[in-house]
Amino acid sequence: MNRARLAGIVSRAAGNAPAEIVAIEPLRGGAVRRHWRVDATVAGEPRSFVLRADGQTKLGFGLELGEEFALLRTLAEAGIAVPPPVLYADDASILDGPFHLTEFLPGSADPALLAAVPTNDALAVRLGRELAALHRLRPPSAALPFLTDPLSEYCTLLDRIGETRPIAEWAMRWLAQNAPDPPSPVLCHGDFRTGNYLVADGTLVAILDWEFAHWGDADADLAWFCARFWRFGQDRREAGGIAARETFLAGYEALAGRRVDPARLRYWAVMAALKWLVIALLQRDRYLRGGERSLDLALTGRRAAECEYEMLRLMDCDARSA
Amino acid sequence: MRDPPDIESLLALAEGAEDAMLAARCRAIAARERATGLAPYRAIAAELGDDLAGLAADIRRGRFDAPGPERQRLTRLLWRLALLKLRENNPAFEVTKI
Repeated sequence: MNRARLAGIVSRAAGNAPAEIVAIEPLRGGAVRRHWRVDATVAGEPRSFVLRADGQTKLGFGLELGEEFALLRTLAEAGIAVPPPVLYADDASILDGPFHLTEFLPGSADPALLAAVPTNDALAVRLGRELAALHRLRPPSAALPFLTDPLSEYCTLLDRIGETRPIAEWAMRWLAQNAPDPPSPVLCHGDFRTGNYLVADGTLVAILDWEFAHWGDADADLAWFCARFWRFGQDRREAGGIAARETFLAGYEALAGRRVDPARLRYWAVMAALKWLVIALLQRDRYLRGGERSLDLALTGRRAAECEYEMLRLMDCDARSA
Repeated sequence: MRDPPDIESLLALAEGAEDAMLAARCRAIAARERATGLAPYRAIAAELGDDLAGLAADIRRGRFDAPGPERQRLTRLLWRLALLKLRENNPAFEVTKI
């Protein structure tokens, strides 16, 4: 990473104040993109940023970094808890590709840590409220021209992956036959789950990882948050492994002004399992086809078994044979 | 019918891996796969038939929508396959274990 050039764009973003890069450290976490902590002095004051760039190989869907940065600016203006965006750069002389900087915020997003502590009802309520605030953003928005409805994307992506998966076919057929009435689309995070929000002292600091944001059904975000894949060993705490589902939904409903329909949640829970299957296979293919030598990516492919099991369980297939 | 990558590739990656938990998970999957063997997969594959792609296409087209023995037989096979794979890859995920 070219520190001098990085300092130059940080300086420009700060109104040409003098800037110097003091330290750059890689950060853990983030299965799709790479992150570094960048410590700097700007106008003589210490500042810390998070630099976010594409992974060695790409997943093949989701927002590009420039689009994600534009979204962060819109969200910050709307008062959503996001890391304050600083700058976007597409200058190959600094890094190997485009990246953006946001302010570094204190706290942890480590899901194992967040699920390991006692039930945190206040956090679950706050997350519900934050999601309801996000869902108040509705298309069209001139600042967000790139977001589309991804519902048909999973089927297309699964076809592109090119494996014959009868259980996924069964789920896709069920989803096609049981689709609820489409509501007015809202801005969905697309990956709203434990591990993608930052917490300090038990309190929400910011929601992270917006690359899967799209216009869609609000219930999709709710079901994703409660999916069993994201409970990190706390299966009984259905809300992301941190609290009861009812607590999270109560926070959501209070601000959204509507009751969440359990039947719709079930539908979106099946969709969540299909979505995670597609993502897991795409992640695995970064190893299998993209050549990225990563045990984590390779093992993610084996999580397909969880997705397929969960699809059948949630669809309540009547012929279970253990 | 197991999901790729195969266990040999996973074990090769696990050798010398920085993340000890992931490496241990690979070894545990390998042990369970050895214990299971291939016979249960071969039995399911034989029952599903040679043309798995054709079966998938039939599901997509709705051939098994109507209740009846054909649908019941297929869902039973899909459950057997799902449980077989789950019990090798992450047995703790099975709901009976909650």
